[in-house]
Amino acid sequence: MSSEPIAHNDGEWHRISPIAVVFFLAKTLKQLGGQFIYLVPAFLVLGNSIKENPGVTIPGLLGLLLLLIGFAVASFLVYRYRLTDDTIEIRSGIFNKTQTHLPFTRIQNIRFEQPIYYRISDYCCMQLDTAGSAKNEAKLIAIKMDHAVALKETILGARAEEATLKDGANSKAEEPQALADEVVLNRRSVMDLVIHGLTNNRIWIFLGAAAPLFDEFADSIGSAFSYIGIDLQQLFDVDSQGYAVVALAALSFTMIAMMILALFSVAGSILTYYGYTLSRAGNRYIRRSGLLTKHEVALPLRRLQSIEFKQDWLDLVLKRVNLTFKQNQTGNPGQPGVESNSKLIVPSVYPDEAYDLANDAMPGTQLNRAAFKSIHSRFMISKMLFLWIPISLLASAVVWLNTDWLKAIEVGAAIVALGALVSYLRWRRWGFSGDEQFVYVRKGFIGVSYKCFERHKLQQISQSQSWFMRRRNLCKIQFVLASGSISIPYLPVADAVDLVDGSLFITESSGKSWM
Amino acid sequence: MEFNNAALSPDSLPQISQLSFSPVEADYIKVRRIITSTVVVVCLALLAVAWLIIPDWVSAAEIPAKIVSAVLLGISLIIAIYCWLADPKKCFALRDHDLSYQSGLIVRKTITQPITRVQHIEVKQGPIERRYNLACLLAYSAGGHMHTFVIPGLRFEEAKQMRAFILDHKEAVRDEQ
Repeated sequence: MSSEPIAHNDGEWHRISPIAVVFFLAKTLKQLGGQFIYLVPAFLVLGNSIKENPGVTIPGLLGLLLLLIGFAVASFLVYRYRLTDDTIEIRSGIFNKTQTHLPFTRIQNIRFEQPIYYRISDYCCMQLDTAGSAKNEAKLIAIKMDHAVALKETILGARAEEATLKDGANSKAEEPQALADEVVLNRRSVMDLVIHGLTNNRIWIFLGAAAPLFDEFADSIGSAFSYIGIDLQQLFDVDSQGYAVVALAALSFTMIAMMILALFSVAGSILTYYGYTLSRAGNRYIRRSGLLTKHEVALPLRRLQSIEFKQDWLDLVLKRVNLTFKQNQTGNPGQPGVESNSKLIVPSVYPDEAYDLANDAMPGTQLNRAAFKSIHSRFMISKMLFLWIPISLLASAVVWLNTDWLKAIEVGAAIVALGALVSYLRWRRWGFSGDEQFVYVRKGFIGVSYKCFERHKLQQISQSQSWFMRRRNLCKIQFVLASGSISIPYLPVADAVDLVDGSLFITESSGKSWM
Repeated sequence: MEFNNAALSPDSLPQISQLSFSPVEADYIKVRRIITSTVVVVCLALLAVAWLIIPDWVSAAEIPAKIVSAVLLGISLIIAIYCWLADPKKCFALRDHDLSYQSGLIVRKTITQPITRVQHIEVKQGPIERRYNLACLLAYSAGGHMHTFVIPGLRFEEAKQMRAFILDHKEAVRDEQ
């Protein structure tokens, strides 16, 4: 009854491997976990009555578990898929039955996911993405790895064929390479990932995975401290300890907290990026990584929209770079920090490696080595006038009302000084450059990020000029790409004309597609 | 990959700044003025109620009612004045390969949408617009919904003509697979 490791395009309905039951169970548990987070306080309140009535709760929980297993088994039993020469059909759902019909030519992207419980038996999930809505996407749950790879080749073959029929030259050139052997471009060692964890806040990955344990964790911290003889309340009591001791305690606690956070972040980084390889197969980049669940993300190069070369302050110290390849992001805003499918990140590489990788993906790009022009210094003045000075006035007014005017002046001056420093640092980082093929933007505060895109990938452009800018002949431009928008403030109109009109000309005259 | 990289001199490029823009319909400005004035009048009425009736009626609600109605009136007045001044400044231009729309009073903004990047296009008409034979043209690109290109205040026929022009454009709205 389970599927054989051969690709069978026989038009028969097939059942997937029974191991899918585990997948369905895990999926339901995950969903329930997500729902029940909000109910945790209720359970805490009811905690005692639950403890007092084990006769009701234990059978109840067992029943729930059995129900979930039953649900998973039923999901597995109704799940069928069928392959013909050019389409894949999937039937699923117990109550809400869905039948997905997906022609190979509409499949935009194929991803493999291998949760840890599939690792031993060499099964995987095959995610088939289509261009438009999320509704149309399909997931083949639990098929043998080699079967999945064979199916992927078939789908890619069908797509290449169709592209050749549709329009000529450039897709023809793509086709033979599309199925070519993979070349590994980059690997990341555990050391690199530790650095990545330290320089980037990857803590959410860990927190996301550990969310169900979170409450218990917070509870046990307090008891752990009292166990080793530290009384938190007494330690932070100013009356009995004096300011210096409390300050010292606060400092050391902050340090410990930072260290713990950094450790979590490192754990998160290793969790997502363990065994990282970036390889190129013809005109596609493929990223594989993951400690527990192995992810495979593919990016066809023609869909690449922009490249970001980013260094936070710690990256600058350690001379590392996060390089991000961004593709079409429309309709998929993603959660903050969550590695979405629209991005392909190469964590903590050396700047030279990053430059070479960027040049492999966008031949000829200067990226961080372009000749950047800085924006006008009015940027700082406007930030002071419209942001920092109003904030400082507001803060001083509040302080004045509560204490005296001397304090108010101090607070106001401190905020203005801080604002001036921030504005200066940000102004120093802002820069732009453009050549015949690319536009480059540099920005940052303490760290720095360089973005680069091909001019013909432009979706829309806007140019705005306030009354203050007009007097200095300055303006702001915003490039809208399928991967998001990139703007440059306070640049001279003469430079803006080159960027705006030049990019429009290239977009409209080249006839090249954006994907 | 073959790539044609002819050198361009900035002067030879078609320039957005040299475009001649046409203003939006006078009816559109009129309708917007009627609507904003009505809102201001409604807020004035609310203010009158808050100052004259509510204090006698429920004395506890006096202060909050006064504040809320004054804030509402202030906001609606600012919006009305802004619309009054800024609406006549809205204008658009159509070139062979792109659409441009300019707006704004204090910050002038020109948005340009290349036609080859238009994914699909919509002509929208609300109930009031229908009465005045006005319409709104929306062009969607892969830049996302935040960056939908909109030209308001077109005559319905004009909007339909523009839609036809964009659809006829040989590169636009191609079914990208």
